[in-house]
This record gives sequence, structure tokens and C-alpha cells, in this order.
Amino acid sequence: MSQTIQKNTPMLSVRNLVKHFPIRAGIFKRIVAWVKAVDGVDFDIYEGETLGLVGESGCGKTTIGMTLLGLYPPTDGSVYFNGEDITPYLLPGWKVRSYLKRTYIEKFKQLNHDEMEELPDELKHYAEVYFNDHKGDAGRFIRSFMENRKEKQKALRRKMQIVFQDPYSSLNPRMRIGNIIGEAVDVHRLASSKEERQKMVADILQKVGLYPEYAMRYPHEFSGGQRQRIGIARALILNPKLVVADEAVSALDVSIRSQILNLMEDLQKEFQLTYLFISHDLSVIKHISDRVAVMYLGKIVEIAPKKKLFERPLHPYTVSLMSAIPIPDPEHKKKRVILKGDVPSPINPPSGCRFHPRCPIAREICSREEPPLQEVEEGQKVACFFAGEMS
Amino acid sequence: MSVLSEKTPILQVKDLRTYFYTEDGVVKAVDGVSFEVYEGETLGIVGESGCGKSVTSLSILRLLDEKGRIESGEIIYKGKNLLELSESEMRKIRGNEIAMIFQEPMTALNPVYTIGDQIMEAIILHQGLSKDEARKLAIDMLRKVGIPEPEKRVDEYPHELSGGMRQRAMIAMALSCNPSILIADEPTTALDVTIQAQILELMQQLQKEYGMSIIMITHDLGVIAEMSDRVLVMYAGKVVEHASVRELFKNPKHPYTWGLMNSIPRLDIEYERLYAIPGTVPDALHFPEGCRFHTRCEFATDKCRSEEPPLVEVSPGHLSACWHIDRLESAVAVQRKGESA
Repeated sequence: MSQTIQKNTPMLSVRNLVKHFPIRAGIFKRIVAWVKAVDGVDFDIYEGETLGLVGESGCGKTTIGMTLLGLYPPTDGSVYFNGEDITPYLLPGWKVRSYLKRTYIEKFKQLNHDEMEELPDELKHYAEVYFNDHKGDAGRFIRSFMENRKEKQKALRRKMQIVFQDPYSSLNPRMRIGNIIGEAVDVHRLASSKEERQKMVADILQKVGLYPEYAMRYPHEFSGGQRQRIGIARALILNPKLVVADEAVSALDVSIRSQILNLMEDLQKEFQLTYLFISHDLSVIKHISDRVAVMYLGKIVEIAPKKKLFERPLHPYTVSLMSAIPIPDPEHKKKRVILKGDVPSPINPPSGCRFHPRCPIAREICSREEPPLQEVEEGQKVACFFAGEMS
Repeated sequence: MSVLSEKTPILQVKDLRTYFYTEDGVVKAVDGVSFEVYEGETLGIVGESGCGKSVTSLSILRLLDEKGRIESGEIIYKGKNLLELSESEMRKIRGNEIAMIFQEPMTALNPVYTIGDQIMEAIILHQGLSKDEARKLAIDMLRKVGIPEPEKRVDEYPHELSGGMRQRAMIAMALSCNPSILIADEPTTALDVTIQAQILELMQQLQKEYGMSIIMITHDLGVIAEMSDRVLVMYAGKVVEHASVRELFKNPKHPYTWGLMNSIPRLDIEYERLYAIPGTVPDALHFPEGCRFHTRCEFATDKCRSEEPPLVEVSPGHLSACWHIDRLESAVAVQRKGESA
């Protein structure tokens, strides 16, 4: 999106987000290993923009979406929504205390007053709350998060919604469309009467290009594209700020896919939505995004404004990914980088840079040290020691 | 290679009609499809789900389930009509002369047999080799398709291999009897793009080596552009356009092909807004009268609604089934002018 928006505080900030899943085995179901699905990810999403998140299967892109919505509790890291730390509402209650201690209280206790200015923005706000509002009382600080936790959680869920990939399994086959969409209205008590609820459902159905009469029908009566419209209507009826679209068009045929992409762009303008658009398909990502983050094995390897990323990708993985996509033009001749081997398992990711076993330009340092995600050009961050060498 | 090549085709499908008798009615999945495959070439069949592209390939191998019936048509392979062969004669063709690889290698492979057993089964059956010889050949095949440590992998089960490796194993199995035609039904759709690039490269390289013909079935126009020599575009059980790959992409002569090409976001071109073909694919139980695409076509007239357009040659080697190619051509010209401006 435009530069002016970029300078504002981000709508959503993700800091060092980690999500590990345990693997259990044996009769006692002991934890034998961890799947490191997301392993320390930082990014921001600004209001009104579309951030595309692209990567191959198993890279952790869906896990990020699910974690942001509180569908999986994060293992570590923080999520800020308009500057407010929402991690306590994503975690189960019994973990909130240790989270707050780890993230804030222990840091603040060792803090001199003049160091406060140097804290990152997110922490600074809470340092002020901690020292000024709560007079450095850890118990009061923690209680302020625990009070009305359920209500705050619910309010947050209204602001963040998701559209799933598979329009066949994400709609309950025994519910009428009107109830699938209207359920959220009931949960959040947004309608004072049955008629008002009906009207809300009818309005949103029209907005996504369906007839209001469809409210009485069941999911099996609809095609894939229509079902995806229903999924979008269900997400939008709460008037959310942020919509996570998790492979929202991947299951659709080409001719239907472009209809849904256009619809999502129209709705974004009309409702001032912010999208986190997750997809494995770089050409779809290129079409819809303002900025793009490329993931590989639980890490962001490159994040940049769309134009920059597609004109000059700097990470060798981004370069190979782009060159791997078949271009629908037989006259188009290009040099192709074909990667060797498969994506390694996230249970036991390679040492150093996770891409080094498949990287065409890997050197000795790559297997030893992990490259940090650094700004190489304005707005373009890359995690590679030799960024730009392949572009 | 031109459509009307002087060479005799290795496979000829003539007016194939495959219908499915379901409880709700007759589904005319393939309704009068004709094409030919020449030696060493790749024929791409492209279309959306339900257009009949997979059923066409299953009909060639006579692998339909009990609801499906081949109503009429001929499938001539090396002078023999496959539809007139007995089941045991057909078994000698299947896997031996015409082999097939499928979209989902996990469901196409048998989970309780090792990779080696499954490759050897076909070799022993069709080539009459001993078990030891067959095993040697299986290991050779696995090496050819780029599976590391084939001596070890030959004794592994499908679940021990990754998606890309499984597809390689499927290709090894299909090519082990040196078929003259390989049917690949969405062979890379379930794979990641970097793995897809590996598999497509492998298929091209093996085609050069073995000289087989490939029938490449896919919904992805990018894969078609990269792999095919000639292309068949299918819609609602019919062939709507048939041309060499360069000609098809340069001068699309059917509104559906043109719409499809405009609907895909591309890496090399920037679009403000995507073109979308309006409406949805018609229900296979009730295909529209006349041209089956008329409900979604912006050039449709009354003629399209009542009369079915025949597949005719509109320029040398280029077949299309449309009444209003002139209208389409002027629309394409306007679009191209806008792009170059």
C-alpha cells in the first residue's frame, strides 16, 4: 500500500512467534520430539494492506494464521493488535502469568529509568503502564490482564476472522446457510431480534454475490465457488478488521478463482479490510498482495513490498521459487533454478541457515550460523549471508 | 508439429462417448471427443474439474467403474481398436504399452507392498523376467528417475517416501515396461512448485531417452505451455479447441480458452483486475442446449443457444468449436492493443 500508511503504527505486530507441536509416542504418550512449525517469526501488518504469506507445504504459514487467531496457543513470542498485547488472550489462562513475567516484569525489574526510552515501541508502552499506572506492582499488572479476560477475548475474536481453504469441509453440512453465517451474530449478541438477524444475513449474502433466499439452503446445494463466498460472508458479518485468508482460493477452478479474488479485493475496499493472505501460489500472491513474506521451514526468509520482491528477489529460495513456476506462454524462455532434494523435516531442521542443504550458493558459514532477517534495501528484509547474489 | 501431420498417429480416439449412469440421471462426461497422438510428442489436455479430461484418459485404458460405460467411438492403438479387445488382451496393453501415472501417488500406490514389489509385479507380468532380474531392473529404474540410494529404497514402503519421491517411484513403475504412451493425469498437482519443477524436468528428460508419447492432463495452463506440443482444450465433455501450443497461446480461437488465459494471475504481467469468466461450470446432468459454453460466454447469440457449433478447422492445424470467432478475434485485438500501448 502507499507509503503514508507504512509509517503509522502497524495494526498487527508479531514478535518472535514460536509454535512447536509435541510428538507423543509409547503407552505413556511421552513427548519424544517437537515439530518446529513456526520458529521465531517477526512481521507487521499495516491497516488496509494485504500481506501475502507464501511458502511450500509444511513451512508453517497456516500455523501462523491459526496462532494469530488463537486457534493454537503460541509456544513463545508476542502478538500486538493496534499496539495492545493480545498474547494473554491467545494463551490458556494458566500460562498468562508466566508469559507476562517472562516478557515484561523480569525485564522491567532490571531496567534503569533512562533505559526506558531505548525499548522497542511495544515494550515501552507496557513499561509505562507498569511503572506509572501500577507503580511497579507485578500483581496489579498481571491482574489488569486477567480482569474481564473472557470479554476481551471475545471482542478480539470479532476483530479477527478467518476464511479457510476447503469450502467442502469448513461448512457444517447439517446447518442451513443462514445459521452458518448467523451463528456469529448470536454468539456476539449483535442482533436484538430475529428479523434484524435475518436482515444482517441477507445483507452480507448480497455483498458476497449470493441471493438472500440462499439462507434457507444447505451447503451441499452449492458449488465450490459459492461455498467459498459463504465462508467469506461468515467471516465478514462481524465486521472484522483483519481477515486471515488461508489458501482461500487454492481449491477452486481457474475461472472461479479469479471471481473470488476480485470479490475479495472489492470487499477489502468497501469494508476497509486488512488481509493476511496465505497461499502456496506465488502468482496469486503477486496479484493480491501489497507486501509479501516468503517462508521456509518455520522462518521468514524474505519480506518486502511486492514490487521489489518480484523485480529483484534477494534470497536464493525466493529466486528458485519464482523460477520454478511454469509461465503460461510457450514463447517465454527463462533460465530455471531447479532445487535439489526435498524440503527437510521441521522436526529436525538443518543447522545454520535452514535452506543451506538445497541452496545453490551455500558456503561453509551457512551450515554453521543462522543468518538474521536484516533490512538489505528499503523495506526489503532478507535472511541470507549472500543476499542478492543469485538475482 | 502440425495437427494434420502426414505421419500415422500411434493412438487415435474417434468420437468417444463415455456416459455414467447415476441415480440422478445420465452424466455425459465425455461426449464426442476425437484426437490423435503421434509418436514422441506430448499432447496436453487442459480443462477445469468435471470437463471430462480424466474420464477420457480412463476410457483409453478401459478403467471405468461399473457406472461408467463407453457408449460409442473407437480407440485405435497401433491399428487395433482397444474397445473391441477382450479383458485379457487389454491387460497386455495396460501398463505395458500404455502406462499411466496419477495425481495422488499415495492413493495410487499400494501401502502394504514395498516400492520394489510393486515395480517388479509389472515387469514379471509383462516381460516374463525372473524375480532377481526384475529386481535389478526395478533398481535401475529407480536410479533413472533420480531416487537416491535405490538399492535401499527398493525395499521401502510408500509411506516412507516424500510426495516427490513417490511420484518418481510411480514414474519408474510406469516406464519399467517401456510403454509407447504415458498418460499423466495431473502428475504434479499435489506437489510443491519446486518439486513440480523437478518432476516436469524428469519427464521431459525421460521422454527424450525413451521416445514415448505423453498425454499430459492438467488444469494448469503453465504446465501445458511448458510441456506440450499440441493442446486440446475441453469444456463440459467436449473439445472446444485444438491447436499446437504456440498457436493456441498466440491466437486463441475459442472464448473459453481466451477467458481461461486471462483468468490466471501471471508473474510476468501486471493486471489491475483479473478477468473472470462469469457463472459456474454447468451441472453435468443438465448441460445447456446449443453451445455448452453459451451461458458463460460474452459473445453468445441466439444461434449459440440453439445450435451446437461443430469442431472445425479455422486455420491450418487449428480447430475450434465456436460460431463467433470473428467477434472473439476483434476482442483479442483490442486487448492486445491495450497491452502493448
